[in-house]
Amino acid sequence: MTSTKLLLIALISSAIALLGGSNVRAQTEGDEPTTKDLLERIELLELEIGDLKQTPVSQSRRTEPDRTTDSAGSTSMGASPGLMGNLGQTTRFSRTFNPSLGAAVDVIGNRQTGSDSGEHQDRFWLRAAELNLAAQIDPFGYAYVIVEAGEGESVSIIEAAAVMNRLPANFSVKGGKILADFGKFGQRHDHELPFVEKPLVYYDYIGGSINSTGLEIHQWFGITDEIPLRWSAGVYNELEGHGHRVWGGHHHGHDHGAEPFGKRQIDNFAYNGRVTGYGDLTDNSSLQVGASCLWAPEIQAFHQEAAGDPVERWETRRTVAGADVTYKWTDPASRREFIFGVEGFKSRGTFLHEEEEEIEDGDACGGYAWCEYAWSPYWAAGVMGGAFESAMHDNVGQREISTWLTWKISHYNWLRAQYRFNDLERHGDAFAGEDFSEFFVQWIFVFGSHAHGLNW
Amino acid sequence: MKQNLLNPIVLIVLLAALGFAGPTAAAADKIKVVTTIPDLADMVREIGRDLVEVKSIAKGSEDMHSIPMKPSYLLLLNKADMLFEVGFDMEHAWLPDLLYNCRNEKIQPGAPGFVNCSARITPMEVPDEANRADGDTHPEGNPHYNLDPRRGRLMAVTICDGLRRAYPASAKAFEANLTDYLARFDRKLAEWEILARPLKGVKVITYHRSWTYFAARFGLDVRAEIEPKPGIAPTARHVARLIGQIREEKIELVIKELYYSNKYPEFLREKTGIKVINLPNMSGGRPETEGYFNFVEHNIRAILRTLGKPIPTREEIEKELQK
Repeated sequence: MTSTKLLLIALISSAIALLGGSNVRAQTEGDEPTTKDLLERIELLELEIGDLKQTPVSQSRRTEPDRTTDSAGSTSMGASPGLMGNLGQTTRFSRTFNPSLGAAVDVIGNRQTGSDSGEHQDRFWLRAAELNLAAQIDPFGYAYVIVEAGEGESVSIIEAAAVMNRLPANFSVKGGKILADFGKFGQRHDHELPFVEKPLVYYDYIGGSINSTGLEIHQWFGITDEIPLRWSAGVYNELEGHGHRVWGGHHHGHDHGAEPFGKRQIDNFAYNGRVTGYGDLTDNSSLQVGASCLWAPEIQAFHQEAAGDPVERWETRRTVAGADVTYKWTDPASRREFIFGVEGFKSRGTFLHEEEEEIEDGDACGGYAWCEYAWSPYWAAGVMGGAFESAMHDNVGQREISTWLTWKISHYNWLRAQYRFNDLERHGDAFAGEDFSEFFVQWIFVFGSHAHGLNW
Repeated sequence: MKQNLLNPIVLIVLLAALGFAGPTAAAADKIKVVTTIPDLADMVREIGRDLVEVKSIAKGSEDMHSIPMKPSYLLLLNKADMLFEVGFDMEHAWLPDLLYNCRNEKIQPGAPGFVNCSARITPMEVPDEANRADGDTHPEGNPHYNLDPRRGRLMAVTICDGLRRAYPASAKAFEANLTDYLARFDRKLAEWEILARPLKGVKVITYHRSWTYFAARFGLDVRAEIEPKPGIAPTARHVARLIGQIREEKIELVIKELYYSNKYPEFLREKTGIKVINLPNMSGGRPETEGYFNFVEHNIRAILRTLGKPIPTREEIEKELQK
């Protein structure tokens, strides 16, 4: 071995020893500071590299994760992208475009005193277990399906709709089976309410919610730079109902024998509309004002009796109009919130008296007012008072007074207790023994994909 | 049928006509920028200067995780030319639906007008898996990086990148403004390093896991949180455990964000004598914290004051810097 080679080996050995030594020192000086220092250096290097290249930064990891899930097929095949390339959707079972999936469960315990109505017996019951799926269809819109099962009911599709929301001038079109955009709470699912049940006037006048198949147009715009206004108009057939309750719709526990009763034709579709405006009064307070109207013309329908030929029936027409005002105050510094809302309805229609087989005209008014105070993100309490004349019976009305307490254990897990006093009355001649009190406990929990939407 | 109500068709036509007429033409002179938090708004103002008109959705005193969703924000976003967000899912509870429904293609993710300011940030506390058993965790990592000014510097660079990409014709102006801003920023960073030296090794409890990056930068040792899990209200058992931990580990300070209740921090103070401080976690949470520099400096000085640590004077800092 020549002296040059020896020198070279000595130099390399020294270099290895030095590098190894420095590495050992770095490790023995304590891992945590070294990691922090390295992270800091990496950040600074990133900064410098970015500045030098002057290239736009890759904007959002959130917009890109689907690319990583693209490789689901290759992973399941055990193939290395380096060897096989990206197999993409060659797998039959790609999960890449699966919809988001979420569930909500609403369990109620109910105790009633003062009346022995069979419908209001004391019990725990599953009001609804709701499964919702949603995904973008294409660049022009998204779709969602909400399947719901309640105790003693078959599984039903509550909503299945497409929303085309890339139309010009902020228009969007919603089509399919939907909860129609009526009133302040008509389009809200029960588990989203701030109380156990919608105000009772909703059940009497529109059956809780108008669950219908049809088409709605929506649009919003600014009437000033700071006041947005939203309106919608819908056309529907297949409004569910029976006899007096033209819009039986989808509701639980107060369904007085609603049944589907035939499809409407183009000349007697039902229509619905809502317009609402919103304004910030101050940094911490806002006011929303809305008006809704539902119009269902007379309809000829065929009712299938248990045996024999279908029987022709004439269901009757009805119009319900409503106006609502909601005031909201929030204090970000303490996370307190106060809401006050009031809504009134007028119902006008004719009703077929089943027993007497007579058509009866009827006007009725009703409404409610409510407020809720949340003194933290976890606790809220509220009261509601409501009264209405029956849309279906002359001289009959009902009043309700409720109070409730909600404990939000977490954002996804709520407990609620509510007391409601019901006063059924005939004008000037109260029903004896028809006043009753109800106690509710409610447990709502949601899991899986969960998103918040604007409700206005 | 006799109807007292307006003919629905007429009403629809009227509303639609209003809708077409409603949106006013955007002012062409300034770039309309919306940011999700005021820290970003301050930086965009610094880098965009007279070329931009900036509004922040969140206020400095609010809980950035749960900003109330207002329909008026739709108008704000609808007219925006650019949107700057914190990212790491910080805005996940309120921004997605507003963004989706604001009907403004210019600021949708992927468009030049959308800037995720976490693009250069190395996240901390990235969970192994997203599981709600861990509370309101963020799958991409802790999103409160705005509290670390070194990461704040990276935010500024990303903001400049975003502006430059969306408005290349003004790139030189943005770069010049950034250079000036970073020069002032670097000076401040050096000052804050000196100012915050007494914080190294100080053991603290925070209410929420907001202070991870701040603590890592200035050497605070976060021993626990008052929330048992992020977003979950404190329980009696957890608070009792904290009392023991404070005594055992000699923890000196509770840092509470402005919007949380004083109840539990005060309870801990009564039981253990621990010091408590209320701090904003975004700029503008208090009048003296308007602007990012004031915000960072306020927080460091406020902690030093609460702990009774020595605060170097301007002259002392200047002398140190010249060494």
